[in-house]
Amino acid sequence: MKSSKKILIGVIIAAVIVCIGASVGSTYISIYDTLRIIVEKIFSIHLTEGIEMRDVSIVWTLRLPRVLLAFIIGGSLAMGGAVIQSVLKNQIASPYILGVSSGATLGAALIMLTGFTIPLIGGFTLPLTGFLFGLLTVYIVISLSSKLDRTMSNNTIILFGMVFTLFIGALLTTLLALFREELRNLIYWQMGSFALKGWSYVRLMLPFFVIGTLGILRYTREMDILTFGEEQAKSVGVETEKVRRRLFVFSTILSGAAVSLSGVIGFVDLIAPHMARKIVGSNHRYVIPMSFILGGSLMVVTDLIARTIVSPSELPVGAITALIGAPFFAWVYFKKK
Amino acid sequence: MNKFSALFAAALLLAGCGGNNARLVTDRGGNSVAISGPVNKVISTAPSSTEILVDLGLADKLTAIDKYSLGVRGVNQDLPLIDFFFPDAEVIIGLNPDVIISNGHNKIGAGDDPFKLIREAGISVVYIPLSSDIDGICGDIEFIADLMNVPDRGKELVRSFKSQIDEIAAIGNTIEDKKTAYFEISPAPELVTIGRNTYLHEMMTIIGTVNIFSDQIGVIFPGAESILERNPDVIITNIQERYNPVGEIKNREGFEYINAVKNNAIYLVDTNSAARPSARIVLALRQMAKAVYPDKYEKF
Repeated sequence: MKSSKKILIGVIIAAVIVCIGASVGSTYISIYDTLRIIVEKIFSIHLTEGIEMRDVSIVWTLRLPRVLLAFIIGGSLAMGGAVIQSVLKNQIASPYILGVSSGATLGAALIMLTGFTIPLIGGFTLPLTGFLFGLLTVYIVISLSSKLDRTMSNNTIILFGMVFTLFIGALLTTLLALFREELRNLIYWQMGSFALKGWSYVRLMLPFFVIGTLGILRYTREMDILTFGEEQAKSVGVETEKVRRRLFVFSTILSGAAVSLSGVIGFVDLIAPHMARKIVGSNHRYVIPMSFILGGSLMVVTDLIARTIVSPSELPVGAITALIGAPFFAWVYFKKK
Repeated sequence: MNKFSALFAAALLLAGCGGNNARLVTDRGGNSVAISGPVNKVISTAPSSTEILVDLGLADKLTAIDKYSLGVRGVNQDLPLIDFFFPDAEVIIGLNPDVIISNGHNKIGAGDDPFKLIREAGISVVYIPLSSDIDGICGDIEFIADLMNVPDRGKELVRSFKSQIDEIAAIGNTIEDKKTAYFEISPAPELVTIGRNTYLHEMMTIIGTVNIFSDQIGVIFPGAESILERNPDVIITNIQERYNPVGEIKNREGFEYINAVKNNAIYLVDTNSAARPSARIVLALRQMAKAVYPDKYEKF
């Protein structure tokens, strides 16, 4: 089957998953009613005759924005992962390993602890700081590894990323020890959750998502060429350093903003690109959108599990992704071997 | 721990250390603890125990406290403060207290008894787990009173505490059309509330409301949806005022269809009196009663 057809099927399945996500929860609301509510709200047609206002509120104000946010964040993390894996030619690389998540966590924690808001941009302060700290981390990792190793071998970058992640982890621990009052909030936030994150969060994430995605999609061809090796890429005229740098920035925009809005959610950036390549092959024109579809769908499903498995209580989604993600990753890895 | 304490007590008795004054008490966690001599220097590790000590008229026996106890009415503001997440054994031993009253929260996260070294240094440590109901709180009061050799004051405090509760319960029992209620302990996005087997649940029942999460047990983390579904008539919260809890709940996305929000029935009660299991919960109980049923509890 053609890759474009596979993507189309992926889109349809993702749409179904979104609908299921919006209609399942601690309250039962049928998919038909859910669709009626969504269509009424979007097209301002009166369709919700006989549906309780409470259910309308649950679907439109609580579930749909949550499901969409989960999809966009899962998708963004997955695209970020796909780019980093391709640029570093390493299948276990991810923004997380390069320190984006820990950098963004530190930035977001500082904002949460100080309550600081940049005038004019208000709520954007959090994702923007997350992105800037993530970017700063990647910049430090890359510049340090290029000083040590002129060829910037992938192993050096990954090693530096991990060391730096540990260093930032230590900074964060120190910060937590100093602000023990906020310890509980910060720890909970670090676990990752989409609880009570309405449309405002979707709106906050959108610009980062659009810029990051468009930026990455511009370089799909270069990513294909880069997979054949640096020399080969240079010989066909790809400015490898520049392309790499830009790709790092765009994937950081996606992952940094995602982490600062939802907390740390691991494994999606590792698993989704893997699955995407299995399905559509190695052409990045397909790998990137497929990673988005799979990452988003995976996130919606895990969030659904997180909020229904011990209903009426909720679990942090980060715990569920790790519970599902780690064994899944091991399975994929050993199967390949 | 029990064996150790018993052996320790026996050793004390045999050695004649503490002489005839040594006695064995069973603390609220069921451990036997040897107390030698009269108790004149106490370290309190939680504001609830500090409140009980102060209410028993024993504020002058406090030698050191945790930082939250500093806000308790009647406590000497110059007392040394100890961080009980990471208690500094040297400082505590240096203060040479007769007894340390440790609490449920001291064990959180430590994974082990944080007072092990201190016990080994020969200082008695009694343990009070978090009480799950009002009877438990009365037990805590009587235990501390006995420990401090003022049992009569303990009985008197319990008697007046219970009679105040009974007065409210007498009205609460007569309410026929009971309002459903949701008690929020922690703000969005991580909502925290309580089900059965908690003194807050018992307080909600006493004033004549029905806890929407009475099918659950202990502390729970409800999803926003489940609150919408159970649609409480009133929302009570003890979140600190600086977070503007009433305003935040009122404007919380999706909550506009909850009866309590529609009818502006969101009430803030005193943070500390609702959060600390001591006789001072009566203040929160009165505030809750008056807020939810103003006409029924007019005289309070």
